[in-house]
Amino acid sequence: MLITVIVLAIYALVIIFDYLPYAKSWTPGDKAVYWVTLLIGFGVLFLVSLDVKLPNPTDGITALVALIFPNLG
Amino acid sequence: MKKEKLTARQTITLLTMFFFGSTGVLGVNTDVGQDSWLAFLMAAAIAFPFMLMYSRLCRLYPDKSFFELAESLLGKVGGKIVVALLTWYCLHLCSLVMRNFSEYIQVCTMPETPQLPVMLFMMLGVVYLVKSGVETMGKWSVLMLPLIVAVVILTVLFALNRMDFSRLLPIARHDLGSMANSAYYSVMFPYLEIIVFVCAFSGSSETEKPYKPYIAAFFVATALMLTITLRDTMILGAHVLDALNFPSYVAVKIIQIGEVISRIEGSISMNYILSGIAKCSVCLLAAAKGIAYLFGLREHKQFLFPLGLLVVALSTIVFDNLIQMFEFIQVYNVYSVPFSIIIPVLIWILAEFKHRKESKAQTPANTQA
Repeated sequence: MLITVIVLAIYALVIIFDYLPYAKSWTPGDKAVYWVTLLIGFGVLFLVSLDVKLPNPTDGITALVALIFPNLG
Repeated sequence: MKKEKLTARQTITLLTMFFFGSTGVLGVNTDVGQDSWLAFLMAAAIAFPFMLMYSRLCRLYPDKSFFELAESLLGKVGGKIVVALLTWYCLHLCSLVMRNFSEYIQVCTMPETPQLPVMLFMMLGVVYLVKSGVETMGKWSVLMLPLIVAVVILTVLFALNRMDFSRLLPIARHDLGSMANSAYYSVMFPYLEIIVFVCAFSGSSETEKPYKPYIAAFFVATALMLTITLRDTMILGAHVLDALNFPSYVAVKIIQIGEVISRIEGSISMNYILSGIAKCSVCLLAAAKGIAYLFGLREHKQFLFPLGLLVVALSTIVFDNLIQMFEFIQVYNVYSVPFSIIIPVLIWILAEFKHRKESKAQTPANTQA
């Protein structure tokens, strides 16, 4: 629970101090990249803070490498 | 807006800290036991031509970033694909380094503390450093590297009574194949990760002669890591070294001189955090520049905070546990080949051809004039 609160607090602070003061001068492209990265990160961290098990990218990379070098997989 | 540049001295210090980064925490490959230091020297010899290659790339096109160079050589589509791949590599490496350090902190110093807050606060420092600019990163590294070197030297001096030189014997006991295999690990991690540094800082160097800073950093980092490897082997011995996850921490932990000097492992934790911040900041800067280049954004500093938090998010899910983190090293040595060998060598070869063509085109024009 505390971790979730920390995650929410940090994202709130980022939006208040990093986005709101400067966003007026940004292009729509700047804002789009900002929000996409923010939302993806927030989604993952929020779920991790609630102990939700998420897919592991390392398993995918290991499977890909195992296709070429089966003894490594 | 004045383009921020690194001086030669700042390049040396920052690149040295980048090399030292997670290698200080995880140590070099110890498959060949007491010959690990020899295998590491082999790795340095193998990696040296790559340093020359990167220096040459920076010399050929000093005002172009690596991403701009990739697009000019491979075309718009090919260039964007290469930039996307390298951006992913920088992001992934940043998350791997972040996870290495949070695991180290949890295992060695704060076992009751969850890793997520540690990562979040470490990333806040990294983002602040990168947002402060290239020159600030360079000046910070000039201040921090002497501290790191001083701690390494002090730990060696204090550990002299614990070192047993016979633990290095017999020298060169392992066959060349085993040594080469161990050396390959050290070539891929950390030497060839320099591609990330080049992505972050190519086109940002004050000096038009990049050979000196790159090679100087290479030798300083090699000397540092070799010193640590020898220290750990002589204190712990080959078998214990191989069994430990974080051998340097344990080696320094047992240092004791009388009743006065003991429990100095906190000093090397400080070393690792500093070099970890340096490595993460270089990776984050390279990833931010890659994303800005991919989407045609004016400025990469705008989305450093969300990108940093994305890296933290990635680092929480990248491994299930500590064992998987160490097992991934084998896979990493294959996975990183396209990013750290194939793409840079391809870019270098194409850059040489293009430069030669441009030089020949200029020569007849000069003759006519």
